[in-house]
Amino acid sequence: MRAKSLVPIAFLAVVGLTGCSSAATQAPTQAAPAGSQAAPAGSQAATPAPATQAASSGTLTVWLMKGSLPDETVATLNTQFQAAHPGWTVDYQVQNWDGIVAKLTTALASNNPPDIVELGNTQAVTFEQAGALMDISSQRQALGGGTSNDSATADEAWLGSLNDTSIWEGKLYAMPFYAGDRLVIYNKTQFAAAGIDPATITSKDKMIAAAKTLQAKYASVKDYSGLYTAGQNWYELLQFIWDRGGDVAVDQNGTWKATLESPQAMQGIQDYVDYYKAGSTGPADNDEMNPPEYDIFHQGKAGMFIGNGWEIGSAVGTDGKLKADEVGVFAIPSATDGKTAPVFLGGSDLGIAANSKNQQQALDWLKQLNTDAGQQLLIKAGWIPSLKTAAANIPADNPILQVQAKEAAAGSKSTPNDPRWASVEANNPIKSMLTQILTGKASIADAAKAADQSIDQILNTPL
Amino acid sequence: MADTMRAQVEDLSPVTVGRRGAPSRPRTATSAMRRALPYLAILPTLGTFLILLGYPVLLVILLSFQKYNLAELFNHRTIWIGLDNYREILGNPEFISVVIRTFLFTIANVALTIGLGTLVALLLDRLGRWMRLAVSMAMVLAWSVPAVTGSVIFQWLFDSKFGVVNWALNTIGLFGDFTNHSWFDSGLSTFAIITMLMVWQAAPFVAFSLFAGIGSISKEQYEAARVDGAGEWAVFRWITLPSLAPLFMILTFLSSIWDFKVFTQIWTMRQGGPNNETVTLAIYAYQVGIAGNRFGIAAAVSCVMVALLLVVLVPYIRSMVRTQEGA
Repeated sequence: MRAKSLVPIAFLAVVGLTGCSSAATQAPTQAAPAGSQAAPAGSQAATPAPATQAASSGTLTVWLMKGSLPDETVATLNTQFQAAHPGWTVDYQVQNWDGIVAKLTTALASNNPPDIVELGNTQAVTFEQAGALMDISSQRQALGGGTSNDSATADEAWLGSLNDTSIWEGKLYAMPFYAGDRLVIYNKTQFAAAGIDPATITSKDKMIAAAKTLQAKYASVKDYSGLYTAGQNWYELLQFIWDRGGDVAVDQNGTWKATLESPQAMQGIQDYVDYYKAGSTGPADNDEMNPPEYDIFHQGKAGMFIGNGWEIGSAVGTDGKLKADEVGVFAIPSATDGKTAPVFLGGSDLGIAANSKNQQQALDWLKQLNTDAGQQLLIKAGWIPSLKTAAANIPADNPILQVQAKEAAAGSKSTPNDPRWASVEANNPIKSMLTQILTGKASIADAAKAADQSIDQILNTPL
Repeated sequence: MADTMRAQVEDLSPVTVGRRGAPSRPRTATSAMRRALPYLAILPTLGTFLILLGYPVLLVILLSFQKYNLAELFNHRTIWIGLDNYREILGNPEFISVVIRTFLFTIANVALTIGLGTLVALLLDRLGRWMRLAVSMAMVLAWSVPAVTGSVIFQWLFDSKFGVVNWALNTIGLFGDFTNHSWFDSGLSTFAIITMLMVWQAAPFVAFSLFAGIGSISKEQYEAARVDGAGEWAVFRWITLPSLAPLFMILTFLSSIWDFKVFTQIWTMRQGGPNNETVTLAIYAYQVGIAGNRFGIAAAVSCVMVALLLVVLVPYIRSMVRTQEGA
C-alpha cells in the first residue's frame, strides 16, 4: 500500500512542478539547445565583424517595432542599403511592443538572432548589461554620435537621455533611434469658449487656474475635468519631480538610493496632487491607460491632458466627434513661470545582436539613419530625430513635433539606467504611493518613504 | 469482460503445450511477455510524459542550483552555486511572508469554494426541473468564462469610477457613500475581489461533482432517517456527508492545488499590487524570473513551492488512498 500511494504523489509532483514554473523558466528552457553547442564565454568578443566582411551576399534581418517607421520609409532605407550592397537583401519584420522583452530575450540568445533590433530606451540597458548586444564603442564617430562614450559629457551629438540609455559602463552598445515626449494636449473649441489663450499658460498655477475656468464653464457636463489625469500616471509625476530638482533614485558609487522622500521630490509629488485635486475625475487607483486618458479627452470630458505625441491620433479618433484641427498642443509648464518642465523622454535605440553574423552590414544599415536624409525620414514619421542638430531644426509645418523637440532640448530625462529598473516597473511602488496619497491613506512623506524602501530593495539586488 | 476471457484462454494454451512434453521454457517466456504487456502499453504515454514534463522539470531542478541571470543566458555560461539560491530565498523575510500569504489565500479560497459548491449542489438536488436547468446553465457559464476574461470583467465591476458595484451600493444607500471607493487600494480588499472571482469560477465544478454524488446515494437511506425523525441538518451530517467523504476529499485536494499555484487572476487583476500585497508564490516566481531575469532564483522558488505543496498534501493523499481501499 505504501508503494501504491506514492504513485499519485509522484504524478502530482510532476504536474504541479511544471504547472507552476513553466512561465518562470520559459526563456532558459528555450535557450538551452543553444547553450549546449555554445563556445566558451568571451569568444564572441574575439570574433568581430571583419570575418564576415567578405560575404558578398546574404540576408540582413531587421526588427523594428510597430508604429516606429511607415513601411515606405523602411523600403527607402532598404533600397538604399541594397544598392550599396549588391547581393544582399533585407528581411524586415515588425514586432509588437506587448511581450517584446521576452521575445528579444529568446531571440538574442539564439545562435541565429535578428541582426538589428529596436529596443525601447528603458529596456535597452537590460540587454546591454547582459552582453546581448555588440559593443559598438569604436564605431561611435562613424555612426554620427560624436566622440565621447561618457554619459556625463554634455557635448554628444545625440539627444542626452537617448545617449545615456545606449551606454553601459562606459561602452556604447546601441545607437539612439528616435524620441518622443509628452506635451499638453488641449481642446481648442473648449478653450475658446472658456476664453483661455493657451499661450498664457506658462506656469503650474496658471494651468490649474485654466483647469478650474474650464470646469466652471462645463459644469453641466458629467465627470468633466479641466485637466484630466489618472491617479497613477507616474510618468507625469516624474516630470514634476524633475522640475523641482528631485529624482526617483540616484547612483551613489554603485549603490542606488531612492530619493522620493527628498524635499525636492516631495514638492514634485505635491505638484502632482495639486493638479489632480484641481478637479481631475480620473481614478485614484488606476493608471493612464485604464481608462485611456485620450478616450476621456475624445469624449469631450476633458479640456486638456498630458499625453504623448502619438496619442493625438487616438484622441481625435475616427468617429468624427472631434476634428483634428480642434486639438492643439503646448509645452508642459514648469512650476517656475516662463519655463517648461523637463520631460520624460520615451523612444528607442537600435542594437546589433552580439551573436549576429552580419555585424558589418548591420552597421552600414544603421549609418543611413544619421545622415540629413535619414533624420528627415524620422521627422516625417513624427519623431524627434536622434541628432541634436536635426532636432533643433524641425520644419514649421510640424507644430506638434516642434513643441516636443523644444521641450526635449530644454531638458529631458528617463528612469534610472539600470536593468533592475524593469523589476520596479513590474509592480510599481510609485503607483501604490500615489493611490495612498490621493485617497488620504498616507501622507506624502510616509508614502514616499515606503516607496523608497521598495525601490531601494529592488535596485540593489545583486545583478 | 471479453478481454479477460480471451486472456484466460491464451493463458491456458501454453500450459497445455508444456504438459505435452515440451520444456517449460516457452511458458515462462510467454508469461514474462504477459507481465510486460501492460508496461509496454503505457510506454508511449510514459515516454511522452517524460519528454514533455520530465525533461523541463529536470531542467528547472538543475537551474535552481545555478546562477542563471540574463548574462549567463546570452553568454551560454553555466555557473554551479550549490544551494545558494535556496539559501537566498529562505533567508529573505519577504519570501517567508509570501509563503504564509499563499497558504492563507489557498485555505480561504478552498474553504469558500467547497462551501459554496456544497450549498449549490444541495440546492440543485431540491430544485424543480426548470429551475435546476436555469441554475445549471448559470453555473456552466461562470465555469466556462476564461480566467483572463473573468478578471477583466471583475475589474470593471469594481472600478472606482465606472464600476457597477459602487453605483449599486450607492443606489441602495444602506452602506454609506461608495462614490470613488477604491476596492484595490489595500491587499486585503484586492484579495477579496480575487477570491470572489475565483470562487465564482471554481464553485460550479464542485457543485456539479457533488450533485452527481448526491444522486448516487440511495433514497431509502434518507427516507429511513426521516422516518426516525432526523432534521435537515442531521440528514446532511449523518448521511450525505459520510457518503460523499471521498468526493469531498478529492475536490478539496484538487482545489488546493489549483488555488495554490494560481497566477492568471491575481496577475491580471493588479499584478500583485497594491504595493506587492497580493504577491503569492506563483507571482513571486514570475517577478523574480521574468521581470527580474533571475532564472536560477525563480527555479528555486518553483521547487520550494512544489515541495511545500507536497509536504502539506502527502498526508492527505495517504488518507485518501486508505479511504478508497477501505470502501
